[in-house]
Amino acid sequence: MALLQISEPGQAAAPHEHKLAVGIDLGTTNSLVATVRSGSASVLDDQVGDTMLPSVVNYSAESAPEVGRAAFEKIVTDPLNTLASIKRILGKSSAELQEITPQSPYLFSDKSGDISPVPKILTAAGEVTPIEVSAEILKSLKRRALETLVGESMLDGAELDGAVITVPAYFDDAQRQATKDAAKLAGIKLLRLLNEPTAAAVAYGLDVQEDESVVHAIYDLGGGTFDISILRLTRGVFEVMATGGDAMLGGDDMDHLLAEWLAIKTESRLNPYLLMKARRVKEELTERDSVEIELEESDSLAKSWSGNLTRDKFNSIVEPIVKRTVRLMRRALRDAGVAQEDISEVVLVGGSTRVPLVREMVEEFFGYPPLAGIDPDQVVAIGAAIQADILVGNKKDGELLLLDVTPLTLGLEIMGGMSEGVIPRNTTIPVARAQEFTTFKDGQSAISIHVVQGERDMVVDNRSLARFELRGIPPMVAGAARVRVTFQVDADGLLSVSAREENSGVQADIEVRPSYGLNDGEIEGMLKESYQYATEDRDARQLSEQKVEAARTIEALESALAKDGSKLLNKDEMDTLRNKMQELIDIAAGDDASIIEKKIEQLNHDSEFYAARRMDQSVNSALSGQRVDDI
Amino acid sequence: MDLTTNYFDLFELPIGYTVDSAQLASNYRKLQKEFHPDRFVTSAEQERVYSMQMASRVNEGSRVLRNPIERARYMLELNGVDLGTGGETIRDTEFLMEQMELREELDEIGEDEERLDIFIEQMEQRVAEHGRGFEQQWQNLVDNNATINSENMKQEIQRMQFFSRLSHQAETVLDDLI
Repeated sequence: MALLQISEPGQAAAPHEHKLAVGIDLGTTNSLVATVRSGSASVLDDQVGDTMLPSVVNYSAESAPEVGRAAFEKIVTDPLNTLASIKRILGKSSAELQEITPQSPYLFSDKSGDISPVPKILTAAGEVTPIEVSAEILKSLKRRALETLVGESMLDGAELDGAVITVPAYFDDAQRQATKDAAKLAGIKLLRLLNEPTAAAVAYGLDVQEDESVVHAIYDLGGGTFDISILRLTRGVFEVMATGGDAMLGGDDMDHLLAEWLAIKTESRLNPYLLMKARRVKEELTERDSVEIELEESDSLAKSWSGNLTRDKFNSIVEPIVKRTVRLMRRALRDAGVAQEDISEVVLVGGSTRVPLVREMVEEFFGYPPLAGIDPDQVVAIGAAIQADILVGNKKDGELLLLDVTPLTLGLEIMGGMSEGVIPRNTTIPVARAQEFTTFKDGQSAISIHVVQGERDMVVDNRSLARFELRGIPPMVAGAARVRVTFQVDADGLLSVSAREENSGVQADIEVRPSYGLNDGEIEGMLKESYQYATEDRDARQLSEQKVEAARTIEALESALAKDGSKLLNKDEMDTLRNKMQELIDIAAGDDASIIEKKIEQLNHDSEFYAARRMDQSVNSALSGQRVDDI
Repeated sequence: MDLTTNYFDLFELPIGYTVDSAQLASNYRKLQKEFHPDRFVTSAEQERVYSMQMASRVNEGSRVLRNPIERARYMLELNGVDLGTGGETIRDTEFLMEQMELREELDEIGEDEERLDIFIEQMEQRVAEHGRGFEQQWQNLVDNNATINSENMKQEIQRMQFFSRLSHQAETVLDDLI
């Protein structure tokens, strides 16, 4: 615990210049970047005026990877080196991939004895992980943003101050962690992972100025994922009441079903050509009632076929997908504890909501037509940009606050392979919750902790996030040890777990990441490889980071002391604190990063009591509506 | 901030089974506007940690006070009565019979969505009923300035938990229909 700087309502913590902040929608099929300029948010386009960057990366032996349109055009001609829809496998283990995409078009490296469970795809440029592929897409968007915002001539050394990257609300811990890792690899300072539907709600500015609360539903059907969120909006505060969905359900599945139908007609196997054709037909059917299809015999097709596909027929082919979204919607409403008639507005997000059947079924479900004013492809990036602008401090404080939830239950394995929930789904984050366990054998010296995520009773049906052991428990009779396992989920929805034996104080901590994420060593390795983090730069970077951190710490204390130091501290306390601050200032002038770090920690510890007094005062003033200064 | 402050105090609510949900919601928002990590994205590392801890506590407090069962348990806990993690036996034969009947009813409903909805509704009503029972006993104590004799109140909570669990089971069946 340390000092918490109290920001005054209506005023940012420090004076500042305008910072470069962007919102990134890292999508399954397309990605976008947006920013707020002169008070309004818009998506940024590339040199030829395209706003959407196809989420496709082509690897070749000779040159750097190509991203976007150029890569997209190689899907059919160079299928093994052209990686598309990578978001579908981001954060998945090799084993899971076998189940999800048995006929994946890519070649996965299958080295036995490979310690990393992260799948590696074999390309002409060597092995790549889905995280690296995502990082390429992010780098491309970052370049676009910098080119637009600072100009091409000044690109050298220019950096973004921060980015908000969106993820499907339904993304689990591993998928979120993978997205965070991709940002790190791309050299992007991640301000926050934001749930896509929440971003959409922000973009619509679905806020009411009156005192009453209103409830909105956000229906988000993208290329590869479906999300439904129920939000309550009350004067600048967005509370996510419930979220639901399916991380493996989207417009791609419609293409798939239609391609399968075409495969039967042409007596062929499902292939990239048919998938592309299916997508085109689907898109045309959003405008027209029927489409003529002509398929010539070719390498991809065993037999020619031509015929007519009506929208009705198409609807019947894809109906199972839309019906499934309706069932998931029902569950989200139940979780939120609201009825259909309580929803005052429904927002459509995601390119797949252009499919007329989706609009019809959503309208039928709620009884009135949904909102679709903002381009459903852009709305998420725009919302993310607005949030990034606020987080980085360009906007005044106090205008907007998002309170998001955990999408899936987090729990532990207990006896009999059962899963016991510790933090249920749809719990508002950040959140910490503890559970106590005991030993079941006399003299048991270790307890093994298996962290899982998912709604099912049996551990095997849920997702395994991490395993670790608490060792060194002193010998006790069975049942005497008190092992307290604490789950902490941060505002990005990422989990860390710690375990402590209460009688002896033995402790073990883990940041949940190894299961199918990259471990720290692997990330470091990748960072080293990338040109922008040459090894010799790293020490310098660490030193500069610690200096900045020291300056922030001092600044926070200074501004606090200026406000209420004399009120909350006696002279002795004040003098001691001043001395310790000076010590840090002196040490921060030196060039040893680790000593500075230690000194910061020490000062934080030494100022804890003061922080606590300020926090108490802050709670009181927040509730009584008074400013700290007025007390 | 003293992290041992009880949740009722945190939200400036009187200790009691009935809470003013509007005041709870409003104070909750005020506290989150003050302490949420989004307010400290560019602050020093320790401030961010501290903000996460405070925001976590505000979230947890709000969750406990909003949920009738958690709230009742928490009230007893504040008075030194720990209900543990359940597993205590209920000796009321009539109630045991009812439990069996309800379980059978749920089995028999199977995957009939409409009947599951009705069943859930009924269970929620039973939870509310025992909540009122709990409140009456609490009020008796307060009015008569008596010391906590928790047995009856514990029993009400156990019943609330039972009906709530059944309702949850029915919801799980509904979920599996997805």
